[in-house]
Amino acid sequence: MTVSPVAERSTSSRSRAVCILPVIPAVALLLAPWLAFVNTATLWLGVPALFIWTSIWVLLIPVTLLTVERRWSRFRPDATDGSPDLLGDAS
Amino acid sequence: MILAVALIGMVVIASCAFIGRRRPSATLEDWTVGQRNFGGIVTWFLMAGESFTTFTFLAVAGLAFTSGAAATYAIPYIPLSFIGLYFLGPKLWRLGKQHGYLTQADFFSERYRSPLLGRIVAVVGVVFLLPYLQLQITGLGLIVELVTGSHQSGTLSMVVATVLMVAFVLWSGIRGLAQTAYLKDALMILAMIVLIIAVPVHYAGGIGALFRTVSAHEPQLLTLHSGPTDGIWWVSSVLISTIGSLFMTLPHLWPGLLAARGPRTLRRNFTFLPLYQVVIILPVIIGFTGVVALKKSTDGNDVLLTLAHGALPDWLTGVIAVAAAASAMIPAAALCIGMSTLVAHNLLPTRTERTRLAINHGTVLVAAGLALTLGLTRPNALANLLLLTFSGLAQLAPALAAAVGRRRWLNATPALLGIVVGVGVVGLLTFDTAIPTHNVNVGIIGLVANVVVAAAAQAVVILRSGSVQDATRKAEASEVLA
Repeated sequence: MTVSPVAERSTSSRSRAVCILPVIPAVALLLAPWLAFVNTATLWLGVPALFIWTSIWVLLIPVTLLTVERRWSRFRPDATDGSPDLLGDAS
Repeated sequence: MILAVALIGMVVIASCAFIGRRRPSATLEDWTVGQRNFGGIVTWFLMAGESFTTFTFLAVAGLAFTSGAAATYAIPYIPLSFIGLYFLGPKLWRLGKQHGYLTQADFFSERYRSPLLGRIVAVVGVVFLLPYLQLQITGLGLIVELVTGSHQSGTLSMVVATVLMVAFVLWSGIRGLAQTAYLKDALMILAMIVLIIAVPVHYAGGIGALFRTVSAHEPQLLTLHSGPTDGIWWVSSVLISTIGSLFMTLPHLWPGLLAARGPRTLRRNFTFLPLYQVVIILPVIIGFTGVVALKKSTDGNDVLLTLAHGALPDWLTGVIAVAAAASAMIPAAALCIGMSTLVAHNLLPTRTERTRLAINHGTVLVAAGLALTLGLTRPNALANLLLLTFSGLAQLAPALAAAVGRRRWLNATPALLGIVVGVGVVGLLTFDTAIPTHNVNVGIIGLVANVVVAAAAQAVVILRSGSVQDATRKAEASEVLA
């Protein structure tokens, strides 16, 4: 089955659009001082709300980047480095 | 007892660098970036090792002690920069592989076709990194002095650690750095786990009780409130640190990136490294423990180790000191590699490989010796320069961003003008405290001036030459910039 150029472009656009995903945690983190429910003396789970907010969004950054990797980067010509060995030659 | 554990720990750290390396590197390229084939795990520890310094251990806890929640600015900035580096890092690696970069200055020299710009960037890098190197060595001495209570022990530790660090750097270059980074990170995580369990329990009855006490007595510390560390300060500090890290403006970070096997290795690292940065919340909590346990007059940098010393047995305090010392030795080694390659490769290039290595190794000795001497004799001599290191080097970001793509947006002269004006503004605002900045980080103000001046200068160049490409050709033809 062949894929039409229009469909291919559409898939490519959707794949590229996923690159915007990591912007969400970035915005959430930078807005922290101005979100009244975050910048508050109230404790969440026994610790300051700001701690939980920053930690959660930092932990979500890998999730967004993994999504980008799966949806966009794997189609790139440099998707692999040529060897599955994680350690490389550092000795 | 504590000193003995600390000294043995330093020897063990240095020994790791020698393991598996039977003879020293024969070329500067091998010494600086290996064979450009470091895999994911090595690259992970290399990059994580460079990002966790004595600052992570001591200054973050100190900032939490003095300013409360403002210290949380240290948590998101490196993860935010990894978002950008996920896309930018592979581009820089490809350029490095294609053109044989060993240093940050190589990028500027090659992309702008201007060896002069490359040399200026190299000089700026060496000058700004020296106080950072001194900070690591001085910090190491303070750590040992604090936990042993002896000034002589601190001095001895500084000398021993510097000698060991120079020895393993000269012997094994970036490979030694990678080997030691494994142990350093393991020690650091172990130390943080011990501290986060023992310290709040010992002084406040646990983390929950700690924050209930702070909430009852000093609730303002739980928020970013008005004052010198308000929301504007927090966001602008996160932004300038993110920009500086994202655009690789610190020269000693380049060898780690260039040594990676390829784009996929880098992308995978930048994807998962943010997980590691959440660890910074632990010294923040330790700093809050200081709020309820220590006198207000306590020096911020002393908080973490003072609390550790009071809560742990001597031998375990020694292990904490080793972890803190490692967080000074490994970044110091990376700084030495970054500085020496700038000198040997960009500032004093020679034809023979042997001479290049000799200049490089000589620079390591001179830089480490100078930093140690200043640390012992005049520990505050470079303090003013250190204030400029991060915000000053961040001024390289616009010039780097303008040249990383297929099309270069600036010529060398406008890029240089922007850097000079940006650093000048940062210097002026740092040292002339009478000028109001409204808590905006001076580096951000410098960046605005930097971009405006570079854009205006580029507009003049284009108006006179017709296009960026014409302007570039004319500049290259007249060798004005070479």
